[in-house]
Amino acid sequence: MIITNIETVPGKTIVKHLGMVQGNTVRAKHVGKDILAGFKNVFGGELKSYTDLLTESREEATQRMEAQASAIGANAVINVRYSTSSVAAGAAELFVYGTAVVVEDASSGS
Amino acid sequence: MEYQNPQVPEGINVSKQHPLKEFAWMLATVGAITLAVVLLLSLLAGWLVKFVPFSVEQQLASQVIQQLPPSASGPNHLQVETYLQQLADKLVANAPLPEGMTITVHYVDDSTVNAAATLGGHVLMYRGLLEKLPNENALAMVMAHEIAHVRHRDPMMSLGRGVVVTTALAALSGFSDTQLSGWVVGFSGNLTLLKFSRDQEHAADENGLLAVHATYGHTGGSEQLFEVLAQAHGDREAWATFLATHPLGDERIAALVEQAQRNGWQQSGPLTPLPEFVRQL
Repeated sequence: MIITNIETVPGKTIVKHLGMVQGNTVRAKHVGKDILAGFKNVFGGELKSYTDLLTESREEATQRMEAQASAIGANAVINVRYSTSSVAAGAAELFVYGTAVVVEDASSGS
Repeated sequence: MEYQNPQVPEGINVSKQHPLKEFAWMLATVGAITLAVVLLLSLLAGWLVKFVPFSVEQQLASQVIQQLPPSASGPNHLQVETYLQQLADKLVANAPLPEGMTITVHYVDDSTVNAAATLGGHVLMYRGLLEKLPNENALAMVMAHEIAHVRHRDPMMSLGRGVVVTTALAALSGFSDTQLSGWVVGFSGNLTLLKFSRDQEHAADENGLLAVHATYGHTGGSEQLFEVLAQAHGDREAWATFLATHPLGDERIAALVEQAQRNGWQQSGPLTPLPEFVRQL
């Protein structure tokens, strides 16, 4: 699956537009990590557990978007955008969306 | 470029796991952690409480004494209580308690077939049990058993554990301060119902038999106590409370016989009768 955040796939031609696909997830860290992050606030520095949390969330959301794209027969997702929001204390939503397309090599394209 | 807009299948962005399954898993995990924490706290409290001086325990016990049923309900109440106190003193003289520990016996005019040790060295002896005991040796065994609980600080341990467990559970379940203190006070309101573990009961049996042997020179009559308790089985109410905490009668008798054999104690001898005023209860 080709994932890109520009509107074309270099070296390929888009032959079919299949509409928007999206993936999202809302995740939380367990209470122990929240407490540690609270301590970290006192000293400053990177809140590694929250970095982890958002990285995992982004990966999961992307996987879900890819799953949607393959379910409707796409082989690439273009113009991909990420967005985030806070829905509950200590939980973050990661939302990713893009346009599912079918691409072919430029040489064989029409 | 061809344009299509097919329907995306549902369910990709939704977890496939049934929410109830996840809930059950989380509940089990939280439950297990809570149980482990509470168990650990209660063990810690039980261990720490042994370092609390007996004088502090006696101060706590002032509450207990207030809860006791009013005494002198019968004509010979005082006579019985004095006799029981003398018996306890005799047992303590033959198997001394640690410095500063005292035993106060209370005779309770109630049909419950039971005896209990509580905070501050207060021992409750119920009429129900006294009526059923055949001789002084059996009575001495139950008395020595309760004295052994005091010696081992079992009531204090039970109280410490109880307070810690109720406090921890209340804190975890998120009760407010007022409800919490109400609960703890409610608990200490039942001090006469302190429960001991089977190990504590066995230890008290063992120590009790030691005192009985030191007092009478033989252990005869002790097993009759457990026979009486076993017979009280028919009396469902009295037995239910006893069965819950105490090891089974046969098992206890076997342990006592084994202990006597191990120490080479005489297992029978002249039995001391109960005084007339106790037999006529």
